[in-house]
Amino acid sequence: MRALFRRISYWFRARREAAALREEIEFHRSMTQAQMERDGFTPDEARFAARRQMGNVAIASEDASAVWIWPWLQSVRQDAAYALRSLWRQPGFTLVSLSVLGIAIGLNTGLFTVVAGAAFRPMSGLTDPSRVVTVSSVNVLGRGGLLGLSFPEYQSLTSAATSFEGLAAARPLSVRLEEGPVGRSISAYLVTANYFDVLGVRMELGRGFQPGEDRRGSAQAVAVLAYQVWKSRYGADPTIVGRQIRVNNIPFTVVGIASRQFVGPEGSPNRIWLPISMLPLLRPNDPFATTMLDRPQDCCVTVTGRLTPAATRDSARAEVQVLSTRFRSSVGMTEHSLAIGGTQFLSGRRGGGEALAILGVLSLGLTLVLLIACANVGNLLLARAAARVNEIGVRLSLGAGRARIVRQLLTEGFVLAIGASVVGLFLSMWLPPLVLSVVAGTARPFDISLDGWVLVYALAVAVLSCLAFALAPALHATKCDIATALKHDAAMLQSRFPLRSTLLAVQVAVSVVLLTSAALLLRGVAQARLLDPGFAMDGVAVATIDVPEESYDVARRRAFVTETTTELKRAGIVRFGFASNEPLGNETSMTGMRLQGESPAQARTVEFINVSPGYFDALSIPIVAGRDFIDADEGRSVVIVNQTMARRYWPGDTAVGQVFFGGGNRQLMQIVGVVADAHVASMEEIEPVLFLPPGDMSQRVPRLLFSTDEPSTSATIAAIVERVDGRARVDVTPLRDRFENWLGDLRLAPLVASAIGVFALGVAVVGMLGVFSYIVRQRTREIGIRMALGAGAGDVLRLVLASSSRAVLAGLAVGGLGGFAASQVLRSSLYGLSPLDPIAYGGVLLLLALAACLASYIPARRALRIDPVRALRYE
Amino acid sequence: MGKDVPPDLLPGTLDLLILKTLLRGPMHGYGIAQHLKTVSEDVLQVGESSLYPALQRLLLSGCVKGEWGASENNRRARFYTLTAAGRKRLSAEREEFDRLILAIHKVLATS
Repeated sequence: MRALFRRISYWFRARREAAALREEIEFHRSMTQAQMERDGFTPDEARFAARRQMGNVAIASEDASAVWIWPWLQSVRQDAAYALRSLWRQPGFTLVSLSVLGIAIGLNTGLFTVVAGAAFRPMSGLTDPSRVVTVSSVNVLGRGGLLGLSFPEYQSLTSAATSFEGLAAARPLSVRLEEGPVGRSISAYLVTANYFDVLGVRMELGRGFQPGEDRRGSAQAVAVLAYQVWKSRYGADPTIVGRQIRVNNIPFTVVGIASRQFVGPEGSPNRIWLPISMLPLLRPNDPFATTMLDRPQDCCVTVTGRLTPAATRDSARAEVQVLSTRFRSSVGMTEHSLAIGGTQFLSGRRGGGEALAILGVLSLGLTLVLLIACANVGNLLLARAAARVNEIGVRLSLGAGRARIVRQLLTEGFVLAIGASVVGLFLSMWLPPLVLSVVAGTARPFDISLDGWVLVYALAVAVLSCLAFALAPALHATKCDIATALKHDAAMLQSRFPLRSTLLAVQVAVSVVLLTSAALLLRGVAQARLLDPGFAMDGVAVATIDVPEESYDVARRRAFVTETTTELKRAGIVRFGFASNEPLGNETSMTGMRLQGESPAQARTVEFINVSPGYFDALSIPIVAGRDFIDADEGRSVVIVNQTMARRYWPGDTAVGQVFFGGGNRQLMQIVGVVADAHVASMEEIEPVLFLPPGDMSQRVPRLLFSTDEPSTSATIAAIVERVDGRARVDVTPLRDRFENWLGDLRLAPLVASAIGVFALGVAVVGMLGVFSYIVRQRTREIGIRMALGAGAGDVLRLVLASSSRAVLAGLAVGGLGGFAASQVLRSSLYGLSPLDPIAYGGVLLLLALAACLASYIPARRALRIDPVRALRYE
Repeated sequence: MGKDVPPDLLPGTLDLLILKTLLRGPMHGYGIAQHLKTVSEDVLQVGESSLYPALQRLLLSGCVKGEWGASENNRRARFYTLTAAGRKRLSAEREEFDRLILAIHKVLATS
């Protein structure tokens, strides 16, 4: 082992060591010379004799230093140098292979950084993150999703659990941070005082919370700002610590700035931390907020803990499970099972599983791309190897072992792969942040920087792809028997070359699959644009009204809506209505319902929206039976249903007048009207929808929808709303914009798919190019003879194309089948487009035909220029 | 002139001779060669082409270590010193060598 270490350290000091050795041997020589002079030789004779006795100093020192360097290592270096030289001599080949492999590896590594960041890397900015865990309850209803715990349950755990150095609780809350007269919405995290200590978050400035500062009735309200907030809103002013800020009109003293690395679980840089005890004060009119800290039934807070060195996740889970069961039985609740997880972005998050599945599908796609790239470069290498059949034959005949030559060819592949992975690493440094900023804006929910694992991954991909693309050609090239190779009758070798055709077929197939998927998705978006939402999109706008929430309770909200309605009518505006959820807002509220005669166990959940009279008119949704709501309906148990619902439960136009149990299955409700189906919540498939009278319109001021027949309506409405409450702010968006936004989001997937598909096609074109050039090179003599015998240009072209048409056709067929299979998976994103859409398939076919023509054009031109006389002498 | 250590010298013997020589104290390559020549009364003439690879081998196995110093005629030379590992190896190989010589002797003495 120590010898190995000495060898390696020698390897690093090789140059110096060699010089030392030469000096030593030179010293030896001069001593010998001096000795001879003393023995009576003349100086010249002595020098001559000494040198002769010594032999060559260089050889002696080389012999001596050979002790150190494994001959093996040296030969590897030789191979690498040889590979570099030969790659350098063929810059076209090198450039193409490097970019193709580099992009493929870059895409894979980029995806890996995202997966590593989202699924494996703990939250950034923590000290000793491996011991920081989340404690959550398993949500039985939510398909195994995780929920937080109630605050009282958290308190019972934190007072009794011994597995943790500390347990902290947090709850997100949207608050308004006042700056002068205007307030801006910002996301706050309401936390227990030990939060920063448990997570081990360093403070950039000032301090974190101190024990007792989260006690209710604590003398001073304190706040910690996120680094980005401090920087962007307060210009990184260090005197901010100790100053007061106003949050929801309550003064808080800033005591610290959190470290720059810590952005919290959502990664939003726009954040402040406040003591959790402030929740009732921040939301005085929210009955939930005022009581949730005391009610064990209410959900919930996120619980994070730091394990003691003695505890493991399993032991901690066992302990909190016992404590939780004891607590819940003491307050008369059934037990639930708890889970301990890490702080990784996807761990325990709702939809985390699906996100991983999507990432999995994506990585499968990118692996396909890498496969294409490898097949392609393999093909080019094969062409090169065939061109070098002579050289290889000579070397084999001179006694080189086959293994030695395979190794040398593999080294060339490896050098290429290493170069490509360097290209890929640069790409993966630059691409994921770009994609993430498109998808998530400024938030950085997880760290996507390169680390050792990513480097290891890139290296592994490089090695594997090197084996994938270089091993087969290397084995193939050395398989030829010496006599054939030396006779230079390479055509013999070429005649049976199924490997090359297989590679070509694979890449054609893979690019067909990717391109058909992309084409179908693109066509799906075009189809989505044609979708009829079922309501008027043009000439309708939605107004979002922002009011200071802490001064709006249910009664105030209702009064605000009534007053605004009166004022609007007085101003002569008639086509407007309020709704709890806006169209295309992608928000749905669900309620339970059952028909008369059904038991409560048969109840189902349906979507519902609270709407005011005039809503259907403003959106031009026709009422097909019965009537619209009237003002007098407020407080009565009447509903309007959509046609889908009417058809499903009361077939045959009998819905109006029917009664059923709604509103959590308890209340008898009567249907007063049926409206046409419309995509009031999202553009997904239409589900049964209940429309209810305004009621208390959920937790916020409802959206105001109005018809903008008059261009001045928006301004008038804003003015009226602000007259009703001077603090209210109105934001008007045309519904068409909402639709376009939705389309824009929709376009992302097909754009990404097309980018990958086009890249794959480019790779396939280059691959075909390689194959066709190879054929021309292989059959130069044959083409020459044919032309000498009178073959025309068409015959030659046919010869070149025909030689691999079977491979291309096979690839097309397999790819078409694969594309059809993929289209079944994509069906839900096609918006009614047939998975066999002729335009998509035809387009891809045309594109590939064009690509094949392009790829055969260049080598075919070369073939046509072959001079028969020279070709015959080609030997 | 300049006969090398006979090639049929038992393998490893040169290492043993060098180690034994270094037992006297630090010495440079030329000194070692001279010492071997003198002591063996010109029978063992070790050339650089076998001496220096042997020295590098010993450096590699950690039996000797080299330090630069001034030679008797004030030139820079690398002086080799026996390490603890070298001493151990010397005594082990010495025993082995003695056993071998004895064995050879016995074979030759038996008629």
